[in-house]
Order: sequence, then C-alpha cells, then structure tokens
Amino acid sequence: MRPQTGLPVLVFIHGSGGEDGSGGANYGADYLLSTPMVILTFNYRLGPLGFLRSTQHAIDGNFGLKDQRLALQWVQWNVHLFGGDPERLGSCTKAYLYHLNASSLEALQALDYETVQFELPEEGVSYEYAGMRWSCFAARMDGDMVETYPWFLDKPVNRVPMLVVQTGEFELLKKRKFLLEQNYLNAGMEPLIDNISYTVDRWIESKLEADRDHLYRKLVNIANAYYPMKRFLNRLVELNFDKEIFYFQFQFDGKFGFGKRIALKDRLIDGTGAVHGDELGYIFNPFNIQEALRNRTAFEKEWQVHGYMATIVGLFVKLGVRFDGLRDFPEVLAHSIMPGVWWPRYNGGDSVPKYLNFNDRFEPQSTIMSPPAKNLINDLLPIELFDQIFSHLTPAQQFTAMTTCTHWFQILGHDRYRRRLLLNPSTLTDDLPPQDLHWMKQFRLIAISDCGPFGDFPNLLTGFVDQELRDHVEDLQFGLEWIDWEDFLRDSRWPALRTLTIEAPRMEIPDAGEMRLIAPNLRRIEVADVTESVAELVQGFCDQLEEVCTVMRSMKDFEFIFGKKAFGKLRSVALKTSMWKDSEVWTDAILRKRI
Amino acid sequence: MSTIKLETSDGVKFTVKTQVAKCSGTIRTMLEDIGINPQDGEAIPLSNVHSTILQKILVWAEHHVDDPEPPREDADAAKRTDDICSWDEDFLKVDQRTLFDVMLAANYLDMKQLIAVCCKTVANMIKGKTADQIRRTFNIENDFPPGEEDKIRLRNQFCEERSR
Repeated sequence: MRPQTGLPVLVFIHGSGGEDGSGGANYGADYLLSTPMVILTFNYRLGPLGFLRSTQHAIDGNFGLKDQRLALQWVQWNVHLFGGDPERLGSCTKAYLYHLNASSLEALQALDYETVQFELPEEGVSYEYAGMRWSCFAARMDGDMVETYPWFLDKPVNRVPMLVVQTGEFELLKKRKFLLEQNYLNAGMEPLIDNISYTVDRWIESKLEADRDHLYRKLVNIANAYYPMKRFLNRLVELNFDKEIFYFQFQFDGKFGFGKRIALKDRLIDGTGAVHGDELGYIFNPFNIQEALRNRTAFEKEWQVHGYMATIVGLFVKLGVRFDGLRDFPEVLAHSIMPGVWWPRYNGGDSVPKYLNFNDRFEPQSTIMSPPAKNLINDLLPIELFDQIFSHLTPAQQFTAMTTCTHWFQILGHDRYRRRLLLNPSTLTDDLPPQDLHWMKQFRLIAISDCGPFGDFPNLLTGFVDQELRDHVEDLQFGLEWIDWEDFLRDSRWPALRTLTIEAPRMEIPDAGEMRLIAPNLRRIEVADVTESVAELVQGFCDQLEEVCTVMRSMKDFEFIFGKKAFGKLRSVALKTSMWKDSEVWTDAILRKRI
Repeated sequence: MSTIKLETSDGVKFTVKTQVAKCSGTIRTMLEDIGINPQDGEAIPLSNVHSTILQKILVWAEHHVDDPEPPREDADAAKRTDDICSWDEDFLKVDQRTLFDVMLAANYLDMKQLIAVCCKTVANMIKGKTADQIRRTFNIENDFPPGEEDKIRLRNQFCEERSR
C-alpha cells in the first residue's frame, strides 16, 4: 500500500448528552472512506466525571470538553504521521459546537472553556437536560453564564464551513414536554404559550392537521429542536458568518436508524420519520451492517441513502471551503430522484434560508411546518389597514410592493402613493399621451431638475404645472437656475405643499404675506446655498416652518438665514457643509439655546 | 376597581378591568357616550372578535394600560418602524393568521396604538425584500398577466425615489 499524505481529517466526537456513548466500534466508516480521508474517534470523560461542577467544592467542571480539546490538539500535532493534513481538520460532532470557537492551535489553547458552564444545582446533581442544551448552542465567550444567552454573541473564532444536520428529534417521542428554558422558543414569552394552544386550535379547525396530539408533538419538536437550531444558524447569518453553512433535515425512515429501531424504540409512537441519531447509521456503518450485507435487496433503499449521506459528508470533508451544495455532487445527483435539485447555502443571502429535506428524495425547503399556502394577508385585511402598512414604506419600497400582485398594485396605484416624479427634458416630452400626463399630475413628490434652458422643456413645464398638479404636490424639489421663480409662484396656490427643496437659490421671492397664501401648509425648507433670496424665503415662512435644512459654513450664515425673525414652530434645523454632505441635525434643546 | 364583562363571538365571557377595556375606543364610546351601564352585569357583545384573539388583545391592553396618550399623529412625520418596543415585538411573534386577526380585531375595537404597532410589524416584513420575496412571505400569487409586471416597472422607472 502506498502511504498517502495531505489527506483531509475527520475527527468524530460522539454524542449522547455527555452521559454515555463512546467513539468505538459503533462508528465504522467503510462507506465514508470511499472518499480518501483520515478518520479519528476518541473517548472523553462522561457523566459526573466529565461534567460535574460545583463552585462550593471548587470543581470547575467541563472536563469532558477539556478532554475533547486535548484530543483535537493531539490530532493537530500528530495527524501528519498518519497521512493527514492538520490544516484540513474537520470535526464531526453530535453536539459540541463549542469547538467552533477554536480556529487554530493557539486559539484552541486560549479558549476559555470555563465559560462553558452547565446548570447544576448546588444541592443534588442533575445533568439531565444538559445534552439538549449543548446540542443547539455554543458557549458565549464574554464570560457570562451560558444559561443567559447561550448562542454566539460574536462571530465564532473558528470560521469554517459547516454542514449541519438535524432529524425529527422529538417529534415521535411519546412523552412530550416543552422545555421552559432561555434557549427555547417559549421562554419568557408568556404570550407565546397562549399562542401554542391557539395555533393548535387553528390548525385543527382549518383541518390542516387531523390529529391534535400529533400537532403538539410537532410543536414540541419545533420549540425544542428545530427552532433552537434555526436560531443558532440565523445568528450566524446575522453575524455575517463568512463561510458556507449547509443545513439539512434527515427524515429518511430506514432500517439503519439506530434511534428509531433500537435505542428509543420503546419511547416512540408510531409514525414515519427519523429520530435523534438516526442519521449516523447512514454516515458511519449501520448497527445491523452484517444483516444488511447478507441481504442487500431487503436493504436496497438503505444502502442507497447511506451512499448519498456518506458522499455528502465525505465530499464536505474533502472539499472544505470549496464545497458548494449539491452542485458539487454529480455522484449524488446522478442517483437522485429529483436530479438537478438545487441546495443553496443556508447563509446565501436568501431572506428565507433553505435547507435540504432528506427523506426519500431531496427537496429544498424553508420551513419544517409547511404553513397553509393561503394568501392570508389579501384575504383578510381591508384596504384601510393596507394603507397604514404601506404608509411605513419608502416610495422605493412601495414601488417594489406594487409589483407584487394586482391587488397591491391597485392599492398602491392610488393617488396617495405616488412616488417622486422626475421632471426633466427626457421625462417630460411633447409626445406623452393625455392619460400619462394626467397620471403624472397625481404625484405627491415632484423633482424638477436643471438641464439648461434647452428646447421646448420650459414651455412644456409651464404648461404642465397647472392647478391640478399643484393640488397634489406635497414635496417639491426645484433645481432650475434659468426659470423665473416668480412665474412659478405668483398667483398660484400650492395647498398641499409641505416640503420645498431649492437647489437653485437665485430668484425673486414674493413678499411674506403673499407667501403664506401661496403655500399655507409649507413646513419644511431645504436649501443648497446661503443667499439673500434663500434668507428671504426662509424668513418669509417664519411662523409656519417646522424644519429647515441649510448649508452653513459659519454662525454668520446661520444668523443671515434666520435673521431677527421669530420662528415659533421651528423644531429642527439640519446643517450641512455642502448640499451633498450629510447634515448635522439640531433639535429642540440646541435650538432653544441658539434662537 | 370596576370591571365590565365582554362577550366574544364564540360566546366566551371575559371580566375585564374597565380601565383596560377602555383601551378600545369602541368600548369607551359604548360606556361613555351611549351610556351602557357596566354595573348591570350585562356583557358587552363583541360579535366580531373570537375569544382566542380577545384574550391576546387583553394581554396587550393590560400591559399598555398606563401608557401616556400618544402624541398627535403628524401626517408628515417620518414613518418609523424601528420603534416597536421589545415587549410588543415578542407579543407579535405569531403566525400570520393570528397577526392579521389581531389587526382586524384591533381595528374593530378601535385601538390605534395596537393597530399601528401591527402595521409596523407587517411593514417590516415587506421592507428590504424583492417582490418575489414578498410574495413568498405572504403566499401571494403573482397574478399579473405575463409582461405586465415589466410594463409597470418601465412606466415607473423615471419616478423612482431619487437617491441623495
């Protein structure tokens, strides 16, 4: 045999809640090894020996975790002697995501495992639920107790690609129990507990689920297993975890499932699906491998799924950062019942992250409980509530929402929602059909930009700005140097105008009394420069303006603009050093001092 | 402390502190203007509200009963959606059906603050998404005739918000 070097390394850390289990013979890896790699397993201290902690007796605890750390260190130091590449070390763990926080040997040594603590009451030792906690969360590294918020606050030190698998875990367990802990969905959220019974009622009522008991089990699973995992993954996404995360649900109900067939057998109700640990029988050698080898036809499906799983894990270990979902799995896709299925990264930027559901076939899904595929929002909400919802969106967001469906298009197409209309020689032309002109005149926000006194635009504009338009405009952005402002303002009324932005500051201004008649509802002015005209304009509206945004280079500018006039309603002044810079806003407190 | 009884559409009776019930403009009007006397022991019928929803709404009202009067609604004030308090945020972590039912009931009961916070929540579900993502969020079917969506986009291209 020719010795190989530089092989990827898979360290398997066995699970079972820190109470039992071993890294021994149960985990043969014949199929997995069809992808060349080095596989290591080991034992670590379990139960009270591994995890007893008592401040009273100065027992730090977490010896089991420290054993794991030591083992990983050993592998890093020595694996090259076995043909492994210490730089390509992956751990396959049932539970111990803590190691994510250890990227290199140095980081591993520096990692403060003391912060990983389990809740052991001082009187009487109980670590019953510790395993469940571990399975979902990594330790918090800021020294706080793990009980408080046991998921990552900061980006894990160890940024490696992740392949995350979860089974139906609790769904088929006879005893159902919501865990009321910080980790879980229902902790500290009393309304949510109401919601659970409410949701169950609803689902039964709507015949989405026939069996109330089954629905409770589903919810228990969601709350205790599925949701914490999602929360953990979503937290990583939130932290811009920059390495690939792939997530799949293992739901294949086959004879290699050790949990379903042996370990949890007596504690399960009848039902299809995989339970805790079943997936291991398809990654490593199954517990009944002898029987399955003797009788290949009876186990045909199992062997096939075993092939998929071992290939996925094998390729993941082999490719590391280059692993890219199923696109790197021609072997799998060739056998797949749904060839070409796309399994996107969980953190691929999708607003509804996808996982792969692995039962009899591959399916990308986004939620474990398929919600009623009903368009509830449109079925239920009246237009007045839609109006309120949409009023919280910016024009651009309203525009996007408008293209969602015809119903939203009609609501948002209403006069109330006109977005900013840009008037310039390329948008206001002489060949616009009358219905378009009419439509354009309904806009609440209009920007007229300076393109020079060319062509027919001045005439078109003068004709276009009629009373119909003026009645609608709430926000006018005016950027014409060459048009006579007086023509624009005098003898006209802008009853809806609340915000005026002037980018061309040289113009004649009508006197103050006239001004209020022209725009009685003007509340905000934004100007691009400090000129006499601007000062006149601002001061002309002194008793109705609430906000002023202006360019200011010195206090002198400020005094020049506001003059000696009393601005009774002014609430905020935004100051910029230039039209294109962000402004510094002075609100009430500062204003009172200044004015 | 005085209490009144409320009866929901499914016939469940709730005994509620009058002060809490008055978070509802509708109930306040009944008590103050129409002069329904709560001492009579008669339950006020709320024929549009299911007990599960009323229960939720009462939890909300109980929590917010001492809130100061909201400032006068300013039509042009920036419409913020990032000012939902964390209690409300948790309270509204519900499935869409419940969220919309709460909105409808709050609308019927005339509870402006609750409606506002629900609308903000829904707006936040829309923000930052593409049309397709919005459709998926709400199970909305794209019912535009083929090509129509592009036409809308085309027609609106010159009036998208100007970026500064």
